[in-house]
Amino acid sequence: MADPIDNLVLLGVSHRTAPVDVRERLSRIGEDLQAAIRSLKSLPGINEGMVLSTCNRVELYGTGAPADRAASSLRSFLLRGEVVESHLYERRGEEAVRHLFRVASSLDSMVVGEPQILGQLKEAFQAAAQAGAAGDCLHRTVGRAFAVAKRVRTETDVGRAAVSMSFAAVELARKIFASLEGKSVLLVGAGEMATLAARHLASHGVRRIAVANRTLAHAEELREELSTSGVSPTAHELSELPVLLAEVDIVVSAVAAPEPLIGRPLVGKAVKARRFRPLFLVDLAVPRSVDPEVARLPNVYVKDVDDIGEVVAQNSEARAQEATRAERIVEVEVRELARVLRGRAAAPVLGELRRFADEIAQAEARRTLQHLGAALDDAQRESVQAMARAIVNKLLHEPTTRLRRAAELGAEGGLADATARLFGLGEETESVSPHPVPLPVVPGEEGREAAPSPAEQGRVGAADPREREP
Amino acid sequence: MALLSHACLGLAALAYSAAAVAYLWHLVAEVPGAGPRSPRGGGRAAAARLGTAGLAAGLVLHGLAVGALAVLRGPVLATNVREGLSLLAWLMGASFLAMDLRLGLPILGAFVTPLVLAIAFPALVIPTSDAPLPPALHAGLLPIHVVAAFLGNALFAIACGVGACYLVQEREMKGHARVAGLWSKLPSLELLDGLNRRLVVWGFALLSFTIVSGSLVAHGAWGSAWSWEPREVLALVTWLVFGGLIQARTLAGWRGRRAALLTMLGFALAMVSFVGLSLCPVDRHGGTFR
Repeated sequence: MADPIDNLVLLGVSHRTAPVDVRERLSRIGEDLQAAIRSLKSLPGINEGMVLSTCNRVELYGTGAPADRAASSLRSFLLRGEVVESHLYERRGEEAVRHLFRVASSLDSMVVGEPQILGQLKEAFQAAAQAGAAGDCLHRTVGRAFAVAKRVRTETDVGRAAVSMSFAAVELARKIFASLEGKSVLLVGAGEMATLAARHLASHGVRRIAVANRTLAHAEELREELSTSGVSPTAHELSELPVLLAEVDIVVSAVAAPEPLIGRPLVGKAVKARRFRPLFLVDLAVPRSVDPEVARLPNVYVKDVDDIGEVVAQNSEARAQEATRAERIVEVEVRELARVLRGRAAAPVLGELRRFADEIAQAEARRTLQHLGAALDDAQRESVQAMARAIVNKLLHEPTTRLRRAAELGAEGGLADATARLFGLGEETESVSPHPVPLPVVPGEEGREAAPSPAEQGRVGAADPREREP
Repeated sequence: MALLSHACLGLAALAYSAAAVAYLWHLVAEVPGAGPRSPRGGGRAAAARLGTAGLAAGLVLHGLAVGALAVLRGPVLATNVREGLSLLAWLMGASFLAMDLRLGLPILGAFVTPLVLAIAFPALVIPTSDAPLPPALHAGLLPIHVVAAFLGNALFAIACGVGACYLVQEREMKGHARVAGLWSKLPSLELLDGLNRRLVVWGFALLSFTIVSGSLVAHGAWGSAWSWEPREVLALVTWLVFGGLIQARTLAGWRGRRAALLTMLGFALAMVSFVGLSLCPVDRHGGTFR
């Protein structure tokens, strides 16, 4: 019996298992997702496939029967790069669903709660759908993953809780500026801290990032690096600070200096030049690079490393609680999806049974109507047909419910098999099917049109059995 | 009818109190996530909804009170200081509710509803005299003059609440970041300042209209449009303060703290010119507002 959830396989490499240089090389897969998905789908034993590629992870999701074959195909696909076995993790069935839900909810992210991952997952799924590689199982699973992520976001504060320093800085900046969109940022220093902060600010729609550094060459390097992130970066020398301070809205300073680099007279002049527009200075350096006196100027706000640390601590404490609640949501959702997907396993047999019964009922109704011929008016003819339909519905209601429940409970295909054999559904199908497949996998050409019972329509929507098998 | 109006006002004040308490709870309650709470925001979000509901209920009751008076006394909605305070509180609450529904900033309720209550409460306890309007004032423009004057003051009052919120948030942002500080709950400075600007501009437009329509009424009633009586002078000073604020914003880039403080000064002047001079009748306005 086709049981999609157990055929779902995930193979991945992430920040938890592999160092950054390995991830960097792997991330080339993400440059042409369509091509990656096409070659993934062409592998033996793979029915559906999706490639999720971010700077922190590359994950392949695939379905196929048997799952072992699908898994080894995925493995060969990933191992083509410089990846070694120890960098990989593999999950199947419910475990794979759980992992996907956690990834989508940003519980597995390097920065827990960061929002970008959902967009990346959307891209991955769209690419899979465009390449025709997303079937019933992926549709349902990924679709549910979006819903789970949304639930986690609205029902917990994992998303709101910032973790890193740059997150905290952004959170503070958002209490000064209504939105960071269109704002400009000055980075003083070109070290790692500044780079991280810049990346983060860029993801919040900042318009311009200016990098000022003692050594211009380093500023140029960072400028180069940032030019891919959708902002227009510029590189400057420290001597340009007076001009830059008058222009930008946010300053992130991470330059170590024995004396504060940014003093009150310097900023005081800038404040007048900028006509009191608010200026936010984040001082990440120790010892401090912004004179605390600067905060006395009107509409100038200064936060130092301790302030930022305070916000980070506050957030990570809150986050731990929120993450526990988020994990609980994920757990409930995994179980619910598994139940639904297992229930879907009974769909082919249900469709067959339905079609079988409908055919008999319609044939009998037609015969009766031929016999009675002209004796009946239109309304009466209609009620004969209605009666035939009603008998089928009443008769099939209980078996349908029981079959589906048995499948949901994960019982092996016993009841469905028995149904197929009892009604002789298999023989009939095989006679018209181009595929000599054993029941109850896929009905033949006519089977595709088999209408699900009303109850089933309400529950699983329009099912297309073609998506389950090649 | 007057008794009914008074009873409605009393009930409205109760509802405003409930709203103010709920909004204040919304302000001080622990931020979701920093402590145990039920899903979906728990008590904090519920408090905000309760505040909005209380405010809306109070406004309906208060509206009945104002309406009953209008039926009783005619279209000039404020013929004495009691009715004036009542009308001011009602317009202020209604404007804030409209603003909250549009912008969704229930946190400002903690700054605005106490002010609504503080203005509505005296209207309950100040003794009233039902002196009829002098016949000279039965001019068509007078009801509009009165509503414009009070609506303008209502907007200044809300701008005051917003300004108070700005001052609190600025103190938070200027100081060292504290765990579970107020800052994370309050809106951004830029948003608050922008709100202040818009409210002041609208209030200023209404104040200008009030002064012009007032002199037209005076001209019709007494033959002179302007007579330098204290209320007129104070209105002119208020007009200059707010006009100056708007001017300084556009020309000199004034904003933030200074704008918030000037707004408060301007509103204080407006209140002095309204309440103070109504209580000691020294002018033609005083003659009617006894």
